Amino acid sequence: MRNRRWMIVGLALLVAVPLALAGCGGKGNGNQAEGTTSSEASTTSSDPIKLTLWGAVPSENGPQEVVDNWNKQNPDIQVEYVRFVNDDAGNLKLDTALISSQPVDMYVNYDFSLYEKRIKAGNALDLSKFSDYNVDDKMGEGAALWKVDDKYYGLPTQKGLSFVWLNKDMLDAKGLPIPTEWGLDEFRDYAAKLKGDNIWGLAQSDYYFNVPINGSLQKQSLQLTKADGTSAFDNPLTVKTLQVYSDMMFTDKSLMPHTEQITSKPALDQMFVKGETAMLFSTNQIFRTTNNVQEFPRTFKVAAAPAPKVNKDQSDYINAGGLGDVISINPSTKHQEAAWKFIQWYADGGMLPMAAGGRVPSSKDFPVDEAVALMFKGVEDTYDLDSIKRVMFGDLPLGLSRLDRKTGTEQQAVYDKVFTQKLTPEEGATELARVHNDNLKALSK
Amino acid sequence: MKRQRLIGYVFIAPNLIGMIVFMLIPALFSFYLMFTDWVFASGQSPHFVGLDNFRMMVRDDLFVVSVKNTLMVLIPVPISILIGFLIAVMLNNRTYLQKTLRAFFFAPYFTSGIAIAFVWMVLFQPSKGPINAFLRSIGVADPPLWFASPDTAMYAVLIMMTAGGIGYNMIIYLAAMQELSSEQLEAAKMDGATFGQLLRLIIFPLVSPTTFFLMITGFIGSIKGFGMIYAITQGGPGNSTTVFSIFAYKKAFSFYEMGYASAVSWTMFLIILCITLIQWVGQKRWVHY
Repeated sequence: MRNRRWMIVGLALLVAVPLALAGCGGKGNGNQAEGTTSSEASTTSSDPIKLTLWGAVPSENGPQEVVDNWNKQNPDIQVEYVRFVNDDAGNLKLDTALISSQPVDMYVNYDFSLYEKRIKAGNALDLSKFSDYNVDDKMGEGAALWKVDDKYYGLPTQKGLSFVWLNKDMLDAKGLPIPTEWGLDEFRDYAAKLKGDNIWGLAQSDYYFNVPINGSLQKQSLQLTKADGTSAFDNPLTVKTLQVYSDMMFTDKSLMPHTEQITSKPALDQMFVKGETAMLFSTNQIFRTTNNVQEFPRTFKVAAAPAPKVNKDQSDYINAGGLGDVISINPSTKHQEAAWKFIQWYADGGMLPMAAGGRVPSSKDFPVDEAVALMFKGVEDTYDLDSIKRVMFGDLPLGLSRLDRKTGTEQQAVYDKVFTQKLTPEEGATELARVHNDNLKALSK
Repeated sequence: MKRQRLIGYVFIAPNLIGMIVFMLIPALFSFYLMFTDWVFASGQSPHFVGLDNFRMMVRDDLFVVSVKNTLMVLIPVPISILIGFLIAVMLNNRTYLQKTLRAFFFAPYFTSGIAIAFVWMVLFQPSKGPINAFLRSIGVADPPLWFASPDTAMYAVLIMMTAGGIGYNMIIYLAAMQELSSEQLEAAKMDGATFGQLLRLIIFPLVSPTTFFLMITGFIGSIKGFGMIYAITQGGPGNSTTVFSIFAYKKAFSFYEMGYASAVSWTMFLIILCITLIQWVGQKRWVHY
């Protein structure tokens, strides 16, 4: 009997002690805990304020240099950069850190639905409490798309558009001009003309099936719904997009089939610099590869064209993307003022080292010429600068899809079926709408 | 005596704590969650919704697909056991390159599952993969797209899982066969038993506890199987390879629907339990200790 009691007491201790230790450890080591001393206390003591910024860009592609620059200029506020990968697992890691009081003082949002979720969960500070920075004035009209309940909970810091990257040498060889405005028919025509032996006319990841489709629906609503609140996916522009891509895969054989992408998981940016594809539909991320001529040497010039509309003369098309890299402050940080100071500095000039990775700052106070110079430093001759500047710094209408994350993910299965010819483009459009409507219904409950 | 016991508890403590903290408590928590509508990181507390998650589950088309696919991944288990048994019989006898062949068959087991998955991905690559190159060379004009088509992806997964299980089954059978009494086998041979009779009537019954063990662990492993399928197809194309574990993972970690994901996970547990119990009861008919 006594032994049993001993055992119970022992077991209870075995559970309680590590839990207590874990609890203490979490507080003691956490940045949040370091920040529990008030900002006044921090300024009076010699200990600098420590802030942690979570972002998805690899630290060597700019963020580390950004925080190093800040830390040199601001010995009283030291920032540490923590990288999370912008996928399901990475976002889960960030969200877990946010709700479990791990050290996250600031974090970057890349997707509206996650941003909105974090706001609703109380994990993003309402920035209207700071009156010293007019976001609309600084960032332009595209910023307002990130307002929730008419308030900013994060500062959009870059223009994140999707473009078509072109191998200009291949274009020249075929006598094709750099497009400045085009629809999917012209896009298809270019791909067909540019394809060659072991060269695809076009490569793009799955995400880019959405770009022309969503771009055609966004003017109706950011949620991609019709006036009656039902899904807008079931429309002729969606059907045409699916048809053109399907024709490029199966008729022209100018686009790497979706099925090949699934099974080969190719590094598309590397295919582009190796000359294995003449065009690449992507974002400014490609700069990480095209600027790295030591590791990825290339002999051709890179040019850029805007994302294709569905129909060239379409007036209700909005370029997907808009402003992005939205930095939020965790409301539980004890150093909100210091975090805000850092974010303003970052947006208005501090993010300069990120420009080398192709990130176009959105603040009007940003030294754009410096950003452009840095973006092409040492590799100016390997780009068709006019076309790049036209699409990256031009005045394209910006949009931001607020399609819920679940629909976005589940629609992948529909693309799988259309591009393995299990569904016709018409059936595909209907199915995209059905998936969307089901989720709209679930969300309205 | 008391001191010895205490030392014993100290020794088991790390494992016990790990089990309680990382398995028992989360399991009990998920048991509670399956009756709630809790969405992770939403800032909302869990609300009790009774059996709503289960009602939703039976109406969910993707759940039905995942049940069907999960039942399909049970097929490789008996096949890989049978092949493992036959290879073990061959390698238990004196053959050329006996040790090399044992290592060859066992190699996939001690290699990382993800690495193997990527090897299969290359083998089954539709346009440039060696399997389709071979099929084309023998006149198959339109070879299957394997992992790339909703029609064939599940079959490619089944082939991969069958091949993946053979090495482990073979090694376990080999160990069991080393323990067999050579007198029984010699006696059977002297009585004129053919090789087939020897296999069917002597060796197979004598290693039946091993077969039972492999069946139980194989079925559980297959139902829980996640890594290799997720690495290649993420449950696609077109949800054609979505099994229970991938379905639960997506609900939990892509959409943060923890209540629903817990209900799916506990349903998976109940199915594994039922299949194991059926095997346990059925063993009396064919397992000889």
